[in-house]
Amino acid sequence: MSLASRIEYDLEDLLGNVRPRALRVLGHFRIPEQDADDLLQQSFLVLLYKRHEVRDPERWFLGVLRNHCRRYWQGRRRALYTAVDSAVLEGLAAPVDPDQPRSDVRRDLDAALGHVPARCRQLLRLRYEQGYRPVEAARRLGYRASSAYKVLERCIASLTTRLTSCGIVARRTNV
Amino acid sequence: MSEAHLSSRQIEEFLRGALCSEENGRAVRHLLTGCPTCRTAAAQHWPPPRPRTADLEEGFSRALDGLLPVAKSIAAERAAAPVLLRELQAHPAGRQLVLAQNSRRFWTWSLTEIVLERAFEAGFDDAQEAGELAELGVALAAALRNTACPAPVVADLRARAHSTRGNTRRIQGDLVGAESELREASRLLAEGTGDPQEEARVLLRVAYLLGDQRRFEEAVRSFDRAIALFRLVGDDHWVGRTLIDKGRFRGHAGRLERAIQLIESGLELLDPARDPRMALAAKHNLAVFRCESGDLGRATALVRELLPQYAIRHERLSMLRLRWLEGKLAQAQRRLPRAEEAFLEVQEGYLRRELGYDAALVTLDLAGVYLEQGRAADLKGLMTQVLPVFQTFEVHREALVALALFKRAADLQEATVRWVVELSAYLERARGNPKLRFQPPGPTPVAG
Repeated sequence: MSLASRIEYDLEDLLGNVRPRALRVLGHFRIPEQDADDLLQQSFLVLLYKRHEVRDPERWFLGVLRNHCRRYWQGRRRALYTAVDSAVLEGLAAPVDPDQPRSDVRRDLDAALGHVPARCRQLLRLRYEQGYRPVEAARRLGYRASSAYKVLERCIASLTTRLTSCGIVARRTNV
Repeated sequence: MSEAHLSSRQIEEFLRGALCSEENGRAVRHLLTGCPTCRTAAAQHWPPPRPRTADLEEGFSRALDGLLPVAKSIAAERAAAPVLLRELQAHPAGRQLVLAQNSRRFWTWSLTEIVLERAFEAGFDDAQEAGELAELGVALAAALRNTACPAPVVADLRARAHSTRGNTRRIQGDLVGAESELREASRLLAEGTGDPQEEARVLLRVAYLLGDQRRFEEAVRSFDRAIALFRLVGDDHWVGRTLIDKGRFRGHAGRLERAIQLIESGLELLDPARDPRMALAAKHNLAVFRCESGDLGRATALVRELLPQYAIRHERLSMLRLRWLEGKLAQAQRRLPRAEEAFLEVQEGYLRRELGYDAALVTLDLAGVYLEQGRAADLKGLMTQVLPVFQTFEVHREALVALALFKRAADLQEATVRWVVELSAYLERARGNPKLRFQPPGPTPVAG
């Protein structure tokens, strides 16, 4: 068998074996169909580059795919938190909608913050009401600078839970 | 207050973080009002429905398209890599770096991989060569960003390159430099493919660094995470290898029984054909810990087993370490002339390789032998001879101060075995902590 043929045979054999389990992984993580293609493609490419250094290619591939699925949801959550955070900051910075002056946004935010844990409330008030940067706000509350962004993310997650009642937000929302 | 509810599309896009800025702002402002209708609607988007199998099957087939040409291209690259490496290595190290940075021919995944493998191997025997190869590996990995290799895959290899360079810096005693490289490796992993094996390898190197910094508990946690990742991908050999490393660290922290158990468990999983060096190193450490735990018979048997195997492999540094162990065994068995002979040989070997710190440690073992034999003049001569030598190597200031204090005690005939034990322990601790100061032992209490 030529090298090219052997490559083709090995690849088809491997991917044929792994196909049903890969689809189960995607189903378990509830990856939307439109995003599953990308995750599979990324995982396949990694396999191609690293196959020779992997002991159990099928199991390794499924491990990589699972990691990609976890990161997919981490990325989705992060995008949501960024969206919420930037919208709040912009909403407080200038009135975009003349029917909703800034004072309404501030009042609604205040009410929403009443439902998040106290430490998060403090941190988010420093950020949104007093313009503190993440590191400054974290230090003010006694956190290390190195954990500022992580703490802020958890607090925005807490606020987002309040806004959406939605399970996409990570479970751990208290600091 | 905005009263327009969000549509299902808007909610879905909002939860993806995919609305345009204006729509996003309206959505958040509306949700801030606490609108129960929209909160309920948002809650219904979770959990998302399971994707349809038929759709996933189609996606799988689509993702496979175009895979075969990539596979063939990678195979061709792999075949060409050894030739490219020989071509590079025909030049001096400085020129190799220039070529790596500027000549597209060398920008391949496979070449970078091989260079990093060689850097790792060289670390066991030739720290300088390991450093040069690691530098080359970092340059080649960085250059891959200019190729069609997918960015996350390149990030993985760059992480590997930086962790390799970090490891060589650690071997050379630059622990600050090592920490910086490993931090960069961790940062790059976050941009990578999520390959558990890649993460596990960085964790191993982090653990080695933590060990050199005497942060053994943190090192063990790093090992445990690596073991979990290797188990996830089904690589028993690497699980075994990591158990052996964990055992070594437990041993250095004084938990000898646990160390022996871990190493023996690791040896059961390790494939010696795949990593003969690790199999030897594991047995070596087993011998050390058996010696330290007083099991001299089994320790001696292991040394006898290892000697011919090291000789076949021409591993000079490993043979020095084994000779050192022979010295310690002889000392424990009260065969002091044999111990002296071994320690002198090892001291000379380390000094020739300019490994000042290890030379200092074995000098203290030799000092211990002289003290046991009551050879005060020889002890004085030994310290007078070696102290200036250590000053020319990169033995840090506090360690030199400690050795000078010991020399002074030897000159005044006040040095004791207790001095040697405490100074050896201090030097081990201070290897990764150059600011640590030595506390000389107090006067020995007199019975009375």
